[in-house]
Amino acid sequence: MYSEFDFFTIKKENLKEKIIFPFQLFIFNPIHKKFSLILNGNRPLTKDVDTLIDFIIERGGMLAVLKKQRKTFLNAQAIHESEIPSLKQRELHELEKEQAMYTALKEIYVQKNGAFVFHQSMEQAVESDNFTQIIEYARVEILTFSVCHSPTTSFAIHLAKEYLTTDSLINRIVAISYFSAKNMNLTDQSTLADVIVASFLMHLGHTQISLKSSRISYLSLTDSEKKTYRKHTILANHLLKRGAIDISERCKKIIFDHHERSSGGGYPGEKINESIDPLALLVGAIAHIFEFSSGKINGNKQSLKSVIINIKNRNFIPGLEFDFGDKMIDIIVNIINTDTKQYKKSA
Amino acid sequence: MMENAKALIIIEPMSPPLRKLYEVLLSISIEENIDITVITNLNEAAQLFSMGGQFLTLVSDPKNCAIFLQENRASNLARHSKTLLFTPKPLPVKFLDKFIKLGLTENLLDTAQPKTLLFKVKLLLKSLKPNTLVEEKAEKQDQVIKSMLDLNINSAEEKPLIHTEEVTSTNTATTTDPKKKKIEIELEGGLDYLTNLNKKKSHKEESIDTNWSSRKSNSTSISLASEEEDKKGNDKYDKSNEELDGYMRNKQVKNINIEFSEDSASKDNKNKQSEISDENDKHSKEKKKSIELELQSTKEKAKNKSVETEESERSASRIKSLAGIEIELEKTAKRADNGVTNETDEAPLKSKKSSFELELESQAKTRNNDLEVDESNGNNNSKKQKSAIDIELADNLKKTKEHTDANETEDPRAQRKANSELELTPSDRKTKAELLLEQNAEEREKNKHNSIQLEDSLESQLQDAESNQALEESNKKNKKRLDLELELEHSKRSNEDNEIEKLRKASDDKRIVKLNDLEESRSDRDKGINSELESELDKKKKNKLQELELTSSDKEKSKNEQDELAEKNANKNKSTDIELTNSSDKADNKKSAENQENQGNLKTRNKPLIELTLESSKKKNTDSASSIDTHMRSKESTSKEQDWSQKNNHKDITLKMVSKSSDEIDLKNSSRKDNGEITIDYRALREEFNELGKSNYKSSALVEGKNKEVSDLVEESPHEVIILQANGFDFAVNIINQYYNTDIKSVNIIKSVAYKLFNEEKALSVFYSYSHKTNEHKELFSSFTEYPTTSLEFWNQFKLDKDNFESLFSYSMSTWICREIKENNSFWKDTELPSWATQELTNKPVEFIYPFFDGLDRMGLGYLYFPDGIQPKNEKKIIVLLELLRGIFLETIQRQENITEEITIETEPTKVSNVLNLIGGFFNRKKTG
Repeated sequence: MYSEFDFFTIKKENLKEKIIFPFQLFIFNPIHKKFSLILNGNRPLTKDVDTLIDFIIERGGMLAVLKKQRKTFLNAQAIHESEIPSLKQRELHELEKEQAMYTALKEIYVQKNGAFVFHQSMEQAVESDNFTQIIEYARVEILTFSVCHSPTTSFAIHLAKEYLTTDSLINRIVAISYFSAKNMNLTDQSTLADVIVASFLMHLGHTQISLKSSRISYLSLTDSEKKTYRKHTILANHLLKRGAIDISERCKKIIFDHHERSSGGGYPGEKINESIDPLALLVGAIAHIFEFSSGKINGNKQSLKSVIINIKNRNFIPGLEFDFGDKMIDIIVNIINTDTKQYKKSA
Repeated sequence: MMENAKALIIIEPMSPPLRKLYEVLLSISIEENIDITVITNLNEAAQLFSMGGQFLTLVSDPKNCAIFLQENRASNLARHSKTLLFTPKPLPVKFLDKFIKLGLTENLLDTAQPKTLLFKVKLLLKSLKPNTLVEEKAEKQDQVIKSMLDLNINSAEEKPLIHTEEVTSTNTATTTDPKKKKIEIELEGGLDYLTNLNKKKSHKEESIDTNWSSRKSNSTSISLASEEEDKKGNDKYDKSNEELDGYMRNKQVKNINIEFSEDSASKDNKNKQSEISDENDKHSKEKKKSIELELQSTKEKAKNKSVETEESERSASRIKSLAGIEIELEKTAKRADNGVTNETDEAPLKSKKSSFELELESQAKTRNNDLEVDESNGNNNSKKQKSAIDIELADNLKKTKEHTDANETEDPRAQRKANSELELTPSDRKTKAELLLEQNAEEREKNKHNSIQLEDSLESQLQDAESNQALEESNKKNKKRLDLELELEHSKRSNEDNEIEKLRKASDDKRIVKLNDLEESRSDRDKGINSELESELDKKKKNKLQELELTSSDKEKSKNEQDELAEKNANKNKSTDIELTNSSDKADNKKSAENQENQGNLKTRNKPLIELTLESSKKKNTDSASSIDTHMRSKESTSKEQDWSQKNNHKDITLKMVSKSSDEIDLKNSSRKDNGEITIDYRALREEFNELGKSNYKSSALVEGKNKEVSDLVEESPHEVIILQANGFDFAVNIINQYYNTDIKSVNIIKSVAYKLFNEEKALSVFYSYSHKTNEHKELFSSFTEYPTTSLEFWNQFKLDKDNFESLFSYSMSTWICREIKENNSFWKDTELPSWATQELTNKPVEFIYPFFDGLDRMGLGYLYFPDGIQPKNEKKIIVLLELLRGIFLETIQRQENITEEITIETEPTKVSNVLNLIGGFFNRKKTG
């Protein structure tokens, strides 16, 4: 899939009234920021297409050529590079430079450490209870996100740059949520950014409740404390509004709904099934397994694998939830391979 | 069976939730009046469905469900029966759609709560009509069983008598107990019905069948075999009613076996629809033959024995019973022969034809054209095709009338029962063997009105029975009949072979698609017929034109195409016929019970045989309709449609080529040749930019500076870097991490926030906690002392001004203060930024008082001093950073104690560098990139 960086714009005059071109011609829509193919390479520019191009240019569209066909274009049309203004080098923004640097670094990282295989890395991480590698690779990938995309994407980059350096609970949740979303074929940067930012900020509400509630296990809280604890999603939402942060509504929704469960037993809205954003379920599910594993729910630390097995087998353990919908359960259960004799026994 | 019970069928295998549900339903079945039937084999379902009435079917195996729905689609639709499929996961929409098309009511998840499932089932059961038909049948069934039991008792009583007579009366061995046999025959329908219901019985019958079939090679040898058995003893005839029934059935089954063997010999030849009728004819004829032979033999024996005076009453009664059987079978044979094509007689052919014609006349007139065309292929073929067409045409009507037909077919059984009972009584009264033939003759006379020809033939047969020569002749005749039948079949099959060979030329896909097309709608086929006619007309025209030598190339092309179409349409009809017969034959093999029922009907009903066979075949066709339907929805059909469209397109192109200029042709062709490449939707592009022109963007950009501004925007837009205003939320992650870390003291969290404020906003902060016990504020942390700057003097002086200082603790709302801006003898104070003073606040010392409240409860206070002013845009950030400390202040109010002690213990003087190290240490930043 092409991005805006893959094209350079040309003028109609640059075609020099030729009929056949060895390069592809694209049309740029400035409103939608979209490039569409209008003429294939080595195909005649017919009268119909010619009139259509005129119409599009009249309406504000632009002719564009792929940058990788730059030389072909210049040779075929006998034009010097300087004659095409869009081919002139412009000064990149600092963030763009950073992005380019991180893109290069990612390639180096992959060359050095080999291709990242999530499930394999996850297996290793769960076995060793060390998620540094996964968190590190998540950071490497997130830093290559476009800085020109959306405020949420920029925020995701910023947060990844700042925090995805150590193996902490939040970072684990962020990294696994990110890769799980990718495994769901969510490749859109804005969607992934929503997941990342929401994973980072979903526990923002914990700063709005008593410190004690954040530090002791959920099941050991009193009923009134639990009631207060359950307000943390609303309080987070309130703080986000008060702070007037420019992040996507979907991201806010994920933060707000990350404790919703598909059966309607969640909070704050007691939403069911389709009314819950799947990403909220995903982030909530991953946060839950990590929190349960860390003992934040029942006070007992447990290996992530056993938590997953318990969810898979739907073992009713106090505090363990599996009302995330079948799809999410499938995703969680398949994060790692749990079909080993050893774990069957333990389950 | 319970009154007004709702019928519930559960098809095994059952999933654990369904099994549980079944158990629950079983426990409440009496209360809820539910009749639950668990089915292991899907064939049982078909048998159950033949009982009529509405059913609710529960299935947990999707495969079984699919098979069940396909097989019983028509009956399900007709009766509005419900089917529920239980699956552990929701079915993909693609499959669910297919299931629903087949007639699935709902797909329920196993994971759903048992209550929900039970409620659902109950709800659906409520919607079902009580199965009254089933009850009636059950009653009948009970009666039948009772009568059978009585018979068994009687037979058991009579057994020893028969045994004693074995030696003396060998001649009477061919006969059976009159009562037994008569009633048996009378109840044949009932027994058939029972066999339909009870699978075990059918198994028994099969075993008996195999014994019989192994012993006897053909129908003519049945009598001989029976004689042999007679010699062995009468024990065989004293067997249970089931065995006798099996004996009766054996002939049928055997005949069918013969058919199969013939079929196996010509496997490639696909059976036609009319074969069903032929088979039925054979069954009736062969039955007739065998029983005639039996009768003849018994008559002979009776004659010989007439001299003897020691003839027992029992033997006479046996003869009588046999005669009774004979009469009945003759009756049925007569009735059957009314409609059956008899090779020896010319009349039946006519009658068959006439019946077809009558039916055809009742159908749409357009079909006559088709029939006329078909007639050219030959009489036999035309008949077959006609019958097939009739089936097709009547299919829709049949579907709607199926239910009523089913009832109709069942009603005659009762009538038959009544008739048989009436017949039974006179035969019992008469005891003399000499009167037997006379009585038979009388009874035959009563049935004369059925068919004069057949009566004559039967009379002649009776006359023949008086002499051995006549017997031989009749045997010869029978053989001739059989030979003729076989010949006819062979001739038919040879015709079929020709047709099949023709069809083989056409590709299978096309044939199937054509079949689908035909099945899809009658109108389509009519069109096809019309096209055939048109093609014929075109042919004629063509011939004329050829004579006149006026043909043009374009016309020839079009004609050729039309001819092709016509040929294909013609093939369509053939293929459909064959396909339908195949499917019906398959169904035939599977559902021999249905055949038996049909035969039972043949014996009793006055309907012509062909009609019955057609009906049966139609019924079977409805079964195969589902497969056709599904096939219609397959991709093949669509691909075929595409082929047609492509052809049409081709036509269009050629036409355009003629009409348009060469340049345009090149354009069109080139665009069409690009199918393999990325297709460009020029229309969409035009629409896209049409809308673009309508938008404000165009008007603003183009009106002012035309393309220049647009190009500028284009230049800028792709490279617009979005710089985020995190408003302190980025730091929130740090604070959350600290919240989770139990090793970090609460004061350190305050320190980190204070440092953030100091570092990024150059704000000096002081935090106070509020003690509810003493109602006093106590200092928790002060940046003035922690990060000593020139502002320390300000702070010290400020603290000295007790009024001002203590007024800080009275604030209940966050307040910005700038003491340098004075207004009305008071300094500037505002609760919100930005305001009119925002610009001035950027370079003047500003204070910010931020009290922490939990509802009405005061928790603490934050005081910030910005010696160099504040950027209004950072206002939100400062608030967020302060808000992140709320959890710490909440600790004081919730624990109802002052955390000052804790904090005072913790608050050891630390330097800036230490704080930095501390924060750095939390995250131990690694530059992985």
